Amino acid sequence: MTGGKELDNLLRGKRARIAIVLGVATYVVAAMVISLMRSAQATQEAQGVLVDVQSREIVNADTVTLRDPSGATMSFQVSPEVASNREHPNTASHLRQHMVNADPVIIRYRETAEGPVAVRIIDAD
Amino acid sequence: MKTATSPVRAPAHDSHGSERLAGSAERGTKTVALLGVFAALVVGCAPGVSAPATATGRLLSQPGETGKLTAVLPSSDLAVGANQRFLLALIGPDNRPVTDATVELAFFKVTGPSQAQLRSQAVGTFYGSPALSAVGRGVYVARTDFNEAGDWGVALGVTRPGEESTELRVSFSVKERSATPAVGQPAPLSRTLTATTTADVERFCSARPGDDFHQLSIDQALAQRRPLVALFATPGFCTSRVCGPSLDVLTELHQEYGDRANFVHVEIYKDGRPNEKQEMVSTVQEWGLPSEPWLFIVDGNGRVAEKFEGGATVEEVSPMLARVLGSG
Repeated sequence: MTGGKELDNLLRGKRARIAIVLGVATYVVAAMVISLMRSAQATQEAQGVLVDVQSREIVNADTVTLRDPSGATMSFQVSPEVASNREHPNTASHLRQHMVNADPVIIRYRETAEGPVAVRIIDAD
Repeated sequence: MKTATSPVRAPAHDSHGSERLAGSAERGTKTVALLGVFAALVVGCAPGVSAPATATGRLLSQPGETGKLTAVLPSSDLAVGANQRFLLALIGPDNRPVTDATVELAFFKVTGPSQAQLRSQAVGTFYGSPALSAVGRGVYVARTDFNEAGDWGVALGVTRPGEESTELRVSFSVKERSATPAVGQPAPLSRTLTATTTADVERFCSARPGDDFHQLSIDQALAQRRPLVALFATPGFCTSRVCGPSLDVLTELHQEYGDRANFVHVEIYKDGRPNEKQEMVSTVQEWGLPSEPWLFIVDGNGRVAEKFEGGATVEEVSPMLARVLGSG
């Protein structure tokens, strides 16, 4: 009888631990999914010409300033993924040439606590 | 890199509308006016006079503020020295490039919170981008002396055909020493990749087909004690704007001067285009390039004779190369 009770308790303890682990894992996965959905939803788009490109080096731009067709100007921090994008890498030098030629661009950006961050910049024409 | 915008307005001193201000007297009058405006509005804002360039991540101006002409300064390596190449581009109120203006420049050294000294004046020359002339693209180039490092400003008098003059003011910084080799300095004896067949060239060159300017390394070219034209660019990555045309410029110069100078093209990235690792060839660091493309003319003694940041045209480079070849 005693042996049966101990086995019962052991099984209950294991089940409880499994339930806890499953619960935590579900919570983490759900949080990640929600976070990804939120960040995907937060991506916005602006189009216009660049009127300023700030950079400290050849590849990554620090900030860009865009003037849209209505005349409004917006400044963006630039994520490193803008320069490393496989399909359309836009380095600081390339963005500067866009600026000089007034070649329009589309900026995809996310709002963050520090302001809008450009995550992709592509040619608009 | 700085930007300035200014409402289109007619300066009180300029009643000539679109007439080009070529006379010294007229220029002097304009300069006095520009100086006053500059002292009042530009000084003290340095190094960030330009309204749009200062804030980050914010809406800087509201929609509807059209009617503005904007000046952008793409140079990234301005330094103390004589006859420095100063680049300027203009963007119109319609967000299109302005290529038909007469541009007068007055350069000021910022000397205090509300003080600036006029140091030099110049007239900009417009050079149309060779591949984009049909759609109207290019830059204005002015040559001037920068005799002191620090905060500077330029007051621009911009006159378009049939329009009244517009004044723009932009601040910028001048470094004590340029990151790239200065004119007169020895060119770095870089060992650059070489190949003779197109297939081998295309292993590291982004141009398609691979170009013919990889037969000599820079150090080999300089060892021959012939003038050298060295282009640092990624033509395959930027085919239609600047780098691609830069290679066309090199090719055209080679056709004219290939028997008297060596020509070398150096790629920027190890695999011909930016990647996640952002690996650049070591030559980029050796030459201190803060941007691309760059074109250098090196004389027969291995010293930098001229350097051009951004897109340079045959029209601009050829006379300078001819001068180097004539003296070399």
